[in-house]
Formats: sequence, C-alpha cells, structure tokens
Amino acid sequence: MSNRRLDKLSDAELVALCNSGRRQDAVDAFDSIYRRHRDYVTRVSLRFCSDREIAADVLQETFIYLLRKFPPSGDGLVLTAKLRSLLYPVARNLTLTAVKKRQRSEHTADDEPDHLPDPRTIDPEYENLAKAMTGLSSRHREVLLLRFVDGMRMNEIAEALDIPTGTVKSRLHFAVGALRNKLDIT
Amino acid sequence: MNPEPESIELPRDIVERLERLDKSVAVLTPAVDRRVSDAAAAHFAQRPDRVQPTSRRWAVVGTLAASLVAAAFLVRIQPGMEATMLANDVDGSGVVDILDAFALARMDEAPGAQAEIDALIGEIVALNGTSP
Repeated sequence: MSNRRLDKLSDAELVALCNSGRRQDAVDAFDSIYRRHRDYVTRVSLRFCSDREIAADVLQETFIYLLRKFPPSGDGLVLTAKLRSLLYPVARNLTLTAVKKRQRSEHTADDEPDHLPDPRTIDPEYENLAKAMTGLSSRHREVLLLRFVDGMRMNEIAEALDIPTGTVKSRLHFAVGALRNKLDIT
Repeated sequence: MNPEPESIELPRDIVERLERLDKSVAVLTPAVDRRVSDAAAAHFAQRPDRVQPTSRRWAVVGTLAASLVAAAFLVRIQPGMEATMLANDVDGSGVVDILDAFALARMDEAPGAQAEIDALIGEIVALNGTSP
C-alpha cells in the first residue's frame, strides 16, 4: 500500500492493520504510525531531558515497545484511547529511566533532569515564556503541555499519567494560575 | 464537549507560543528510522502473508458486506455517482482492498443503512454455510 493512502487512515485503522493485516500491510501500517508520531515521541522525551542522544534512544525503544503489542499471530493491541495517550507515558518513563541511569554513571547529584532547553539558547521571542515554564514544577509543566500543546482532553491526560481526572483538573488549575502570574497575565 | 472553565484556559497567543516553543527542537533520526523499520519487517515476517486470524475473519466479512451495502445505498441516493463506486474502489486508488472498507465505514452514517448491512451480512454468512 502506498504511504499516501495509509496516511489517510486513522490511528485506530492503522492499528487494526498491524493487528490482522497481511504481512506487508502490517509493516507499512506500522511504518505509517511511526512516521506520524515520531516527532511527537521525540519532543516528549526532550521535555524531560535536553540530551538528543537519549531522545533518539527513547524514540527507538518506544516504538519497539509498541511493535511488541502486535503479536505475529494477530489480535494484539486494543486501542481504547488516543494512541498518544499510550505513547506518552512510555516515552516519558523511558526518558526518566535513561536520565537516572546516566546520572548514576556520571555520579552527578542533580535530582531533577532538565525539562526544557536552556532558555539562554532559545529565540528571544520565547525567552520569557521558556523561563516561566522552567520556573513551574515538573507536574504543572507536564499538564500544561499535555493540555495546550498536545491538545489532550482531561480524561486522556488522566489516562496518560495514570491519575484521576479530578487531579488533572486541580493540577491544571494551579499550573495555569502559576503561569499567568509569572507572565503577569490577569 | 463542554468548554473548560476559564480558570484552566490560557490566552490563545500564549498557547501558540507554547506550541512553537515545544516544536522548535528538531531532531533528525535517520538511524533510528532505519532500525525501527528493520525491526518491524523482522517482527511481521513471522506472520503468514495471507492468513487472517480466525477471530477477525467475521469482522472482515462484516466490513466487506457493509461496504457493498453502503456502496449500493450511496449509488441509489446519488444516481450520477462514478462507476468506480460500484466496484467498491471508494478511495479511487484503482485497487479494491481493505482501505476501501475503512473509507466506506467512515462514510456509512446514513440512517437505516445499518439494517440493510445486517441483512446482507446474514445472507453472506448463510451462503457460507454457517449460521450467523
């Protein structure tokens, strides 16, 4: 199947092809899923570390994890939410694990990894915003990005983070308030 | 979906800047692209090229039956429709395959169509020698 035709399919349809399509259709469908979400997974990883080497490793491991959800015999992954709700926690946890491993091997004392690129390297247009985001707690920053950049709904964020929807709302409420304060928005 | 309370909304310009900030880091990953592609080819190589898992067969029969009925339904309400529709080449690719069934499933929201689909599935199953 051509990439152009596959690109018109929804994630759920591509997952169905990976589950029970013929050999080459399954390969093509998986490749389409990969191309569709590759940049997203990389960006998620870079939200939790500034190391592109780690992000590349996480990208590979995330999709190998996804690949294993499709047994060769068929009938594998059942998509109950957006695919990104599944990919997000995998990429996030793999990144945090990789960062911790690297910190241990380098004997550094940092408790928390970098979550955004160093503001000094950022376009001045975004400098204030980047500084404000860096000043937020990692939990608040995370829900803000999931809600406003990734466009997830409350229930999807709850699923991605494995927390109750009420907790998502509460975190988001405080995160928005904190960001508004830092940016002097009334 | 209900709009979110104002206390958990951000001004549009801030959201746009957040999006651009998040997407400003570009990472080219040709080596990873290749490794993932190779892994997928190796993984699915274990799958027979033509055999559908048993539990999926009826779903495929149902989907194809639905595509036939939906095509007939659409042709009936739009007499000038292209002949390709009759051949079930819904996406006009020149090939009739599972992607056409997906396309039809997305189009198939007309009221009353479901009953016709169910009836045809029943006929197909009966022709196949098995009770639905």
